Amino acid sequence: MTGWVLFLAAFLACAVEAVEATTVVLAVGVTRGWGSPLRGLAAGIAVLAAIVAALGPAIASIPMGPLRLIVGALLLVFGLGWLRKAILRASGYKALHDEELLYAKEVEAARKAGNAGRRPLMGGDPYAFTLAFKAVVLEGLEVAFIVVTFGANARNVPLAALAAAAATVITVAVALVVKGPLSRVPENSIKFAVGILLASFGTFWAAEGAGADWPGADASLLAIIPAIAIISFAGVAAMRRKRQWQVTAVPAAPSPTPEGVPS
Amino acid sequence: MTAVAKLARSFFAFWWDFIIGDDVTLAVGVAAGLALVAVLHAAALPAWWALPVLWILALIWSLNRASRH
Repeated sequence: MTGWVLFLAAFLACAVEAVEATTVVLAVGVTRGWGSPLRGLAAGIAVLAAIVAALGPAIASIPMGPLRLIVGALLLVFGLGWLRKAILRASGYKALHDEELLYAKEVEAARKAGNAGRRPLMGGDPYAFTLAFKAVVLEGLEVAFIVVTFGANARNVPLAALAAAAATVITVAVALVVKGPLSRVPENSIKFAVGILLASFGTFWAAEGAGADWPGADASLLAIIPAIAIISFAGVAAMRRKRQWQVTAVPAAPSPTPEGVPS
Repeated sequence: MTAVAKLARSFFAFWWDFIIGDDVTLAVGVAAGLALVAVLHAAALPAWWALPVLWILALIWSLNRASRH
């Protein structure tokens, strides 16, 4: 994998995770004050650092064949899950998962939770602490996973880590500037693109790890990525036609506006 | 349910949700594809096509099922 492809893939994938975690922390901080969410954020980062420190050397000592098989399969399953959701959203079968909706849900949940169960160890607001901590650990774990696997497979972990750091810094900078939900970031479109990239790299690595020899070796990625993109867009078109047919056959059915596919 | 069983259950549920997500069909398709790749490779036959074909079929199946609900 060339350097810029690795950087772009890791950057996009990590940006999506950073947007989700940042949105949750912002929502909790705005509604319940910043002390506990920032402590949750710090605790989450500490846990992540420990996981990455433990995971990095372990992965480096694993032979490349089994590593490619395992992480390729995981990336492929992740990527297909993202693609499936993106296709369903783009064709109107699934509600859009935009950051404004996520922000509104978190705000509502934070208000409903009230201030019951305060504990000083979590900065006076365990709910805010837990929400921020959970978001940072879960999304950060995915970032760490992307960095370690992309970087290890391309034999360039520092570049993948640089891409992840750039994505995180830019996302946080944008969040500080807008000080609100990150709805300006076209998350659905990014997820569609990231799903294509994860499925492409996952397919390549997993098949190679299982013993397959790709025609053209690494250069086959230049065919795999556009092929999966074409298949995905064909899936959106087919699902939109099916949705249209279902709406025509049953006039009472709701018909959401298709969105989320980059034009 | 004991505390250990609860912990084990939540641990399993976390990793299931983290890896598998909404639909197990895709993971099954990937696993079947990888198994077919290994079989073809062992038989010294071209194997690179098997994984994408199997996961594309799984994706079509999964999307069709979602569209019926």
